[in-house]
Amino acid sequence: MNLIRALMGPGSVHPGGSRYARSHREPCTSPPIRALFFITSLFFFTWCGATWAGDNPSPPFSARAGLDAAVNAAHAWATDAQLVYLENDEVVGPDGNAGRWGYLFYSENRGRARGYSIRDGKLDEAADLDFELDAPPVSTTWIDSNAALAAAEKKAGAEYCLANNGRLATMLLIRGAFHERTPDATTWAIVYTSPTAPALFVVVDAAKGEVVRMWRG
Amino acid sequence: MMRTTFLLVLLLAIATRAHGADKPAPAVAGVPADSVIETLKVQREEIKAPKHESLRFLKDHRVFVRSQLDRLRTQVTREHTNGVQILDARYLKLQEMSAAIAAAQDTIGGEQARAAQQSLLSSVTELGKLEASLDLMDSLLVDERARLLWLEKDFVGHQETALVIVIRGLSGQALPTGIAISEDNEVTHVTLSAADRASLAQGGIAQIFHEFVEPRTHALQVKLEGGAWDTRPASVVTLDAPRDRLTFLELDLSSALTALSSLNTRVWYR
Repeated sequence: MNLIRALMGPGSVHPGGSRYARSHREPCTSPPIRALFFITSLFFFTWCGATWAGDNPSPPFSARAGLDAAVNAAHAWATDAQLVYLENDEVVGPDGNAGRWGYLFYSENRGRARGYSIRDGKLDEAADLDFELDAPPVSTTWIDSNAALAAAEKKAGAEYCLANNGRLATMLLIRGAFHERTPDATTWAIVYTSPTAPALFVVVDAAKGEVVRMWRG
Repeated sequence: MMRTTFLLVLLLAIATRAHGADKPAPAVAGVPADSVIETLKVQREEIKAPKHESLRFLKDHRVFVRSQLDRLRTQVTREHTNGVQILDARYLKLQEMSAAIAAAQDTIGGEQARAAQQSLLSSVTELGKLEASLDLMDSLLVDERARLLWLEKDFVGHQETALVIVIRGLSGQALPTGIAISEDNEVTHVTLSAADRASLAQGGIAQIFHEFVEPRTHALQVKLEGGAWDTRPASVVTLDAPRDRLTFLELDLSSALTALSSLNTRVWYR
């Protein structure tokens, strides 16, 4: 009751006193209007929250499962487009699947990069990258997100999450950026974050499926 | 009291501004009245906000990722091999079909020559021969249909997402010289060929666009160019291009010069 009264503001009727308990200069809104406003606002924000949070969850899929649709769209944009980067666009589950994956392609002819977000086997979003990224194309053979996540979890991810109340934040596939010793290798980088500890980066060789590097920061 | 004063000040300000607007702009000293004055207007390019955020980590850590990539040096090695390549089985099938078509043509030619010699049937036996000849023609037609079905299946099975735009409805009115189709700041100018113009003038259709497109909803701006068409504003046509399907968009321009708001369109898929 006190909570409702607090939300309804000082103009609400006090059970044991006058509604004019506050300054007499302020116009007083009648309680039914305030209640209606409160309920409408509550409904509006609840609805918005549900929509932004993705009220219609799409079936999760692995990174490779959405590649075909992304390649198809990218080749319509530029026939020489090559995959240079991919990342989960929605939360990755413990099985390495996500409801949406983002694929970035680079075209030498166009000199530009364009990203494609795939959901449920269909193109959800297509947009040019708004900054330059001259990344090399990833190799054609790379393990799927399921296997990469399993390797990272086994090596350090599961332990990190347990010890630090952490969670898997990002999975990304790129060539050359995260494995200094073997820059030619295409690697998965799995990023875990925690509210109490520095983030954990686990780099998995996308050809062999082995963890090749880890660091905190 | 404060509010009344504020309102009075506001009204005075509006009245002063309105009075100033009625006055003609003063002539600039030294500039003749009929000369062209060039002005420069800077506008910001419109950027569409994405429906859903994508590649968030990359965008948040662009500096780090780019600094790592800047340290890379790429080397391209090309190896030429003289190894045997596997021939597409469809090419062999096409060769077989071509031979079958040639054989069927020979058969039909022979039958036509024999039919020309027989101007009158002289016996029931010859009627039987005619029936056999008709059966042969039927079987040749069945074979032909089977070949066409195979070709259609092969064509549709390898379809990629593409868009074809055709126009019609221009007989009896001035033809545009070209058409501009634009989307997301990318403009494609199509000039109508002599064959296109002849076809349109006779009430036919003309294909003006056939390209691979991304499988998504497209909002195309169509602007007809040349003569009276220049005064017509661009029309926006929205259509969905499903993946691995051929999307046809027909623009009926029969009432385009009179009805300025929109174009009559028809969309179908293969």
